[in-house]
Amino acid sequence: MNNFFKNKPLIIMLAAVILLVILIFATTGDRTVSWMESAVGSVAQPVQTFATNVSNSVIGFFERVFNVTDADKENEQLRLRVAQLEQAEYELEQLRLENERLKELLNYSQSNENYNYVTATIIAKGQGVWFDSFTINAGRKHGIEKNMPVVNSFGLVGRVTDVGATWAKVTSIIDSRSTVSVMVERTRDGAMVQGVLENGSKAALELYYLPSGSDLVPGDVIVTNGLGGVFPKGITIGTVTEVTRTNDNNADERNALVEPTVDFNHLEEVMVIVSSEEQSE
Amino acid sequence: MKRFLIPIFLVISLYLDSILFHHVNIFGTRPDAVLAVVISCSVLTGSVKGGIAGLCAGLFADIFFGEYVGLYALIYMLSGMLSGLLEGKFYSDNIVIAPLCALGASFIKENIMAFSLSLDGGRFNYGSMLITYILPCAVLTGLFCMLIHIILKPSMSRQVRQRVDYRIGG
Repeated sequence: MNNFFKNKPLIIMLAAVILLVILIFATTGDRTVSWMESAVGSVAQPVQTFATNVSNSVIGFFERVFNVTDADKENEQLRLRVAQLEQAEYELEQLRLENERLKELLNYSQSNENYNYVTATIIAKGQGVWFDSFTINAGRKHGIEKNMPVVNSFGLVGRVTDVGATWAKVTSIIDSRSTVSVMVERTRDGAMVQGVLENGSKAALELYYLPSGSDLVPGDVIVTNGLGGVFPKGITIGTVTEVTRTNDNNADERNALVEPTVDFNHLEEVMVIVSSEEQSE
Repeated sequence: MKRFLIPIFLVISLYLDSILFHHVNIFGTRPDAVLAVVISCSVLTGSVKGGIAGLCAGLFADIFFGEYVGLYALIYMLSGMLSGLLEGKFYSDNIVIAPLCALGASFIKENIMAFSLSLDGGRFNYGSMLITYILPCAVLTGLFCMLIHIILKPSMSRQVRQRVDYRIGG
């Protein structure tokens, strides 16, 4: 026992383990971001934004270089010049695509004037596949609060789960812990969708608790029904790809598979719904 | 410059994990770059430096893109401290020990993540995830650690040699 108290590294390690375990349990439930987390995140946010932009340029450059491998290998300089021109063209194309995406977001916000939006760029994603969340470059300073819905021009993306001064964490609807109260747009039947964790395959949602005998067919559009107070009514979630059960047997089994309308693999910009006209009035 | 080598590698690995590996991966499977760097550093420099490196990188990952503050910090710190126990027990040019540690640590880490997700209400098929994600990730992390170890070894070997000389000299 005396030897144990003489082993300082072991004592420090045990103390650190105990502190970290307490920290994990303290931060598991519903909570607000501490000033320390907010400050660290705010310092890292510009660095992450810069790193994301550089990363996109580097990836783009190599994509273009590999696309010109058929060029005459003897003409090295010409090939390089072609690669440079293609890089410039690629950058223009990226700007055009970004412009298109932002226009789509603008069109979406103009066609849904009941809401006020804050547009933000995704600057980091969680490590691994277990938790589908990402960090955006807008936070409390921009009017973002916890549980605000996040959308893009194609539909619902997720909700804000943590907010710092200049950044926020968003948990997407395809995260296996996420549940959203929804309805079938055509029949107005209420149900619930939940994310599914399957590595490598296309993002999917499972539909549960559909009323017995519901007339659900592949291609039906699923939208939010506004229940629960987090997501406004009528935001598109996805389309039904496979109906597995429409009766009351095995209520725990899913009713259908839903393919999200949002392409979560190529998500770059999102909009946070910061308030609605109803709330403002 | 050498004293900044570990922090520089940790920053690069955080960037790889949070940005690049989301674009560049093999059917969704990717190595854990931070874990690979922490373990390589630990095997070369020992438990204390490895544990501190793991704690710092883990806390940053927790705050910026983790789900629970402390989980990554705990996993990386313990991985660093435990693999650091091997420091000095093998020749520093052994490039098998560190990757094996990384492989094992990655396997344990992914299982802890799966367990914490299931505690938090997430639903998934463990058998399917074990084959399609956990095992391939562990192998990739081991291979990535081998690469990192080959890069770090020559830079760190002077420090290792100095310490061995010091010990021999008494």
